[in-house]
Amino acid sequence: MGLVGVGRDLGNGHAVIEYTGPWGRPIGQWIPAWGEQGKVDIERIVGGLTQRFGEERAQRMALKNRNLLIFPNLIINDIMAITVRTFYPLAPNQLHVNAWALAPADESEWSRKSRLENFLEFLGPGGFATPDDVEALQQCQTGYENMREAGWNDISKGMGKAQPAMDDEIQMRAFWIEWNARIEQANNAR
Amino acid sequence: MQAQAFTRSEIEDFLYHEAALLDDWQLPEWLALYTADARYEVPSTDLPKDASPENNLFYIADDAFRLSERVKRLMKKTAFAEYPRSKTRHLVSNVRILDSSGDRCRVSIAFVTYRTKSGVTDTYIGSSEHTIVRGDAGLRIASKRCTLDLDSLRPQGRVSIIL
Repeated sequence: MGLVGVGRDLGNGHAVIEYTGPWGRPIGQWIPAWGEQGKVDIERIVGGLTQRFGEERAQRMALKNRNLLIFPNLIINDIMAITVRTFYPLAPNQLHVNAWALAPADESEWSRKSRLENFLEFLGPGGFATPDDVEALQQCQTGYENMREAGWNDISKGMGKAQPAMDDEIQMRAFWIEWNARIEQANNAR
Repeated sequence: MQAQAFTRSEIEDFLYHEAALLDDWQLPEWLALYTADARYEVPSTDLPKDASPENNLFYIADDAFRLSERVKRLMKKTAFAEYPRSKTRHLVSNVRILDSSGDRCRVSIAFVTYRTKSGVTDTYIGSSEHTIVRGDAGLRIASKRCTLDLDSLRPQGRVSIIL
């Protein structure tokens, strides 16, 4: 499964990755599972986008996925469906995550059904991806409890590249650099 | 010929067997208890009882294809949430046959499923409604909907096992 694209540090802790993926996007990337009616509807949506935003921007909106981090704790994933997440640390080893699915107000019955299906297949606590991400996060946390012995976490992938790729961990560096700057500032002010 | 009536003890035996297959991680065998057009659903905790997955976001709303993919995936080592596998215990209680007609009946149960991994035991409490059909090969499940008696998925954080 080839995910091709770029990562961008947006400054002040914000970052985004933008890339193409093989999955259906209810706003503009058709997959065979959606049938002929789906194809017609997607072409109509993309046509509307093209009219409003021009060819180049419409293609970007329709076909490119974006995982956007807004510092410190808001995530907008515009991927196989749009999901908005917040995360609130309650303790050093506990985090509350809330997630919402965004939908166009005027979506048809067909597109609502396919969007929800698309969401479920991958995202959410019963999807085919999110539970494994949660597991990875928890295992990392277990590892961090060894910080006295190993005080570093390596998130240097792609560091120093003129244009980091979508999987070059740039959003993690953007977050932690800002987080570190703010914590240092707070500590120095004491 | 009149269809054979469903009895509660027959349904209970069948559901205990389903629970045992899940607890033993015999998921392909578990899937074989389902019909070729089966559905398996877990609605989100904030939805009304009669909510449809066509216009509401569920935790799980599997048709037969996605359910078979779920089983395939859970049997792989790359399903990190469940590998190493958690220990589960599916308790089935308060079994009632709500109605039946011919070779088909609707059954309601109360369930508690415990999932233990890495020193943490999570509890999933709820009721489930099964549609059970009698075929040549015995009883099969045509649909199962597990409604959780929880305010939210906290502290569980996921439904990575089959309830």
